[in-house]
Amino acid sequence: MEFVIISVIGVLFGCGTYLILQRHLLQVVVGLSLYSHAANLALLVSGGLKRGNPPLLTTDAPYVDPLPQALILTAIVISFGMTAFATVLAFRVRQVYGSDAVDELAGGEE
Amino acid sequence: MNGVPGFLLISLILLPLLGSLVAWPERWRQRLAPAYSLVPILQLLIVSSFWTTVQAGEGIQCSWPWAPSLGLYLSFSLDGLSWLFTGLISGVGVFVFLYAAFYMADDPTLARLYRFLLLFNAAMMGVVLADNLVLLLVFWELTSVSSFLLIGFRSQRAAACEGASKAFGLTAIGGLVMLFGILAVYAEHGTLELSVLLADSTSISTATGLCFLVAAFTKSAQFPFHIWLPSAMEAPTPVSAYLHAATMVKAGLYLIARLTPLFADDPTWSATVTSVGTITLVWGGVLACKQVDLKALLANSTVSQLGLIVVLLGLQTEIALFAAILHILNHAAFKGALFLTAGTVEHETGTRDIRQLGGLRPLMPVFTVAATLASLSMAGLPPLGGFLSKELFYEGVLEADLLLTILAVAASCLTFLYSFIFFHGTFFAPALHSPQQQPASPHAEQHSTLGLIAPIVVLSGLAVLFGLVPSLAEALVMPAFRVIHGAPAQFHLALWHGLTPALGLSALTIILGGSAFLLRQRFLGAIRERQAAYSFNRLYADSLTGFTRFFQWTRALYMTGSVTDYIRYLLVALIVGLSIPLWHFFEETTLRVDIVRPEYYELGLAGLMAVAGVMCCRTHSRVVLVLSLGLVGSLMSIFFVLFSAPDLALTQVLVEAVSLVLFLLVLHYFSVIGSQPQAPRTRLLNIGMSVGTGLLVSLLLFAANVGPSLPSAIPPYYLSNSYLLAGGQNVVNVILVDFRGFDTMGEITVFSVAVFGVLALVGLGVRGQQPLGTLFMFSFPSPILQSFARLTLHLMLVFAIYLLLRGHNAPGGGFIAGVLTAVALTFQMMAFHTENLLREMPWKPLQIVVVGLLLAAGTGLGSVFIGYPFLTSAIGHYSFPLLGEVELATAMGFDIGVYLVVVGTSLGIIRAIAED
Repeated sequence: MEFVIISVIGVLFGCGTYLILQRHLLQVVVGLSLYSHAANLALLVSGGLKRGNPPLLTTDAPYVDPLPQALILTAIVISFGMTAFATVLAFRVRQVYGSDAVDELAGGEE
Repeated sequence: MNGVPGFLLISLILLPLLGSLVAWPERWRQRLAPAYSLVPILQLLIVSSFWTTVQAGEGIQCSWPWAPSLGLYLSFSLDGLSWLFTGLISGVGVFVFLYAAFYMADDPTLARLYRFLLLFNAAMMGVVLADNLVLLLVFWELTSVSSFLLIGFRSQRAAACEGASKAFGLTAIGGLVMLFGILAVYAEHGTLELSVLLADSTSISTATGLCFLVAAFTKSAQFPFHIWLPSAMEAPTPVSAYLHAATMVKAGLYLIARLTPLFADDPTWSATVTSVGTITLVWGGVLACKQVDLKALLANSTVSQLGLIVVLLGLQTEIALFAAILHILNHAAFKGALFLTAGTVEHETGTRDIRQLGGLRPLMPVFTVAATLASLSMAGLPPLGGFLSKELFYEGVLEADLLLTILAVAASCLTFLYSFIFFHGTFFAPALHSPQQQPASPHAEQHSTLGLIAPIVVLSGLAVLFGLVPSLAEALVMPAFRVIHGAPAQFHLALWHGLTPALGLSALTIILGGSAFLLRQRFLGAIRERQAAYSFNRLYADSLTGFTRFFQWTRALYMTGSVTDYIRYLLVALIVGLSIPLWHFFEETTLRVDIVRPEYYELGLAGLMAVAGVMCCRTHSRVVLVLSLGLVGSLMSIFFVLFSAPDLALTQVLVEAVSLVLFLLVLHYFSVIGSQPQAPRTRLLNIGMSVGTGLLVSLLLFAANVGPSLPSAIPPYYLSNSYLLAGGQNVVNVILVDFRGFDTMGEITVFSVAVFGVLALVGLGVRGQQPLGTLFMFSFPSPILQSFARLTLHLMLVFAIYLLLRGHNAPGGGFIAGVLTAVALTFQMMAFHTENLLREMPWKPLQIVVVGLLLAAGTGLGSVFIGYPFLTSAIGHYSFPLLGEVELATAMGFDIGVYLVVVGTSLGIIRAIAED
């Protein structure tokens, strides 16, 4: 199972990279989101997969490692904040400069 | 160890440092400014109190730990050598400070000058007292900084700024090279304490020694770094007298003298020091004769005199070392006096041009005598102090070799010549300039200029005294000499040594120098006119522009201005940097395969996720792009369920919902994707990089999973203590709000920054006062959506609160409940007019965020007040109607804070966009 998920993470990272290198701002934002998803999955894999019950003490042992889950939980929320911010940034750039192509915005120092 | 002497020692540095912080009120500033002179006076008293200690050949140490594991101590030590320098710094300081009070009596910047001078004084004291090499370097650089500030004191003048940056640039190079030397010493010997190095008489490699020499040469204006000193003459004259004649330029000499015992039998060190000193000695003398500006003449003569001392330090014989120290003392006295003379002359006549000056003798007789005596001491005439050191200098070079002797005599003739030019041109030559610039009457000397002459008289008096009473000079010099040489000198200073070869050379100097002076009209004009085709100043300026051009050119090669390019650099660095260690890893590690077999449906889900990812890349439709991303997110939550992470699954699902709304809100503002396709080459490059990154990440994770597994104590600790210590059964939530509460505190703070950022972005630019519309693309209210929304609002809110309250023991908690509330409210915004909803809401989103942050922080601080670490939680079990028994931990308050922050931030972001 680990190898399957690892391959998916690789695909997501590759797609994220590809999108970040694109010209359209929306693609860049989506690329960043794919990165966060991939990173969360990577954290989860690091704790081992399917090796126990949810870390709720009301269920029976063995439990899975709770630490990656705690890390991922905040990561999801923060990456939501980041995505939201990036989206609004892209949206404002489009509104103010009338363009959403990354390279057309280069070199504007003001 | 640190006791009273240590306190006195450190106060030598602290007094000026504190003094430089004193600022008088504007009204009394001018009148009270001279009070800063108390500092060097006090310092001089302290230094004198060490007299008996250093005469006995003892020292004083004090030390405080700074970062002992790195060999860093705030350690100071005073021995004969440092004592002499502290004496110079405070002694010359007294005269310079008093002089400045008169020199700049009407200048409103006087107080500022004093404060910079005190800063310099502290730094210089630090240089000569520091025992730790790094501490020494810190003070060393601080002298460069204060010198920069003082040279550029008249910052409205371009030449002052140029001189300041030139001096700083060159001395900073020296400081940097010295840092290499210090690191090398630490690497070789594991200590940075000078006293330890000297006590063990460690041998230090020649290369390291050269590093220190570069620093010393830049500081002491040795060839070819000498160019900064004449440029530094833009500083006010008291500064030139203090920093650039008597003290700071001697820091390099101090460093060479201090390290001399460590390099006593290193021929390279000795040869380098001697030859650089010789070149400087002669070259500085030639330049000094050319000058027509009094201060320029003195500056170049200082370069030459410093060269002389460096030669002596390089020779390392008993006589040479003694002569070096003696000349440091003599030079401080006569050159201090001469610089102040130049200042007084300019103050009284308005010019420093020696061709216009003259005829001051009848007008200012006392001044004339004092300045002439100082000049004659510089020329090395008996019975003045300069004569003593010149005699010893000759004896030293006679012991060395013939060429050096010839050069020494030549340089001394030049010294003789420019000394005579200086005082003759100023006081005795017929006056050429207009009479109205003359002082009104001889009485002027007694009144307005008394303070401008008295310091010169005292300093010249010292120059005479050292000659007439050699035992006094000897007493001052001997402790320092003993430190460098290791034993007291075997001879005594005297004016009359008998008919020695050195006396013969002195006579020769006087004859040759005297003839040159008499014949000066023949050649002086010619050499003054002559312009060098290329000077070191030009070389310095050209290399500066050269460097700038070169780096502008290289920078233009890679700074393309395109963010995409910068990301490519990062990716290439990542791929290259990680491939190599990964390669080694797979070569060396025996793989451990211990995995869980996947089910078929899991394979399907994984495949779907990969396809969704690729869809994001392939599609040109904005809607498909966003939906594919949503698909990835939803599959994520399914995986979370499969891998026993219910909290994550809940959070992910809810976040996906909010994100989708957010994306759909802004989607139609963007242009169509792929309307401007990239060039095939770029496309290929991008694909290559993407595949590379993906592969790399996969391999990295693969390596992490097949490598040796490290047993970790962390998960068992959390699992077994979650209920015991924090009273919670949902371990993930307990970790968030209790064990790692501080982290979560930081995370919600970061999260809330997003809403501030979004509000700032939306607030930027022009915003028309549009009425608030509905959130979604519906132009008319949909009755079905509205009635459904009305029905679900309270259900969702109640469920959110239920999730919040049970979070400690079952899936739920602040994050999940917060996002759920945001989803509920967003749903309302979609169905109804935003305006109505906002009117109904008691608080603005930003207020909610702030309250949440305060609540979370307050809960944590509560435990501080009752004496526990930040965010310690307390547990209690209470029973509530309807809810049954509830464990109320203070962590609950924290979780509510988290909840409020998440709600406020999500709402704030959505609303900001909806309004825009």
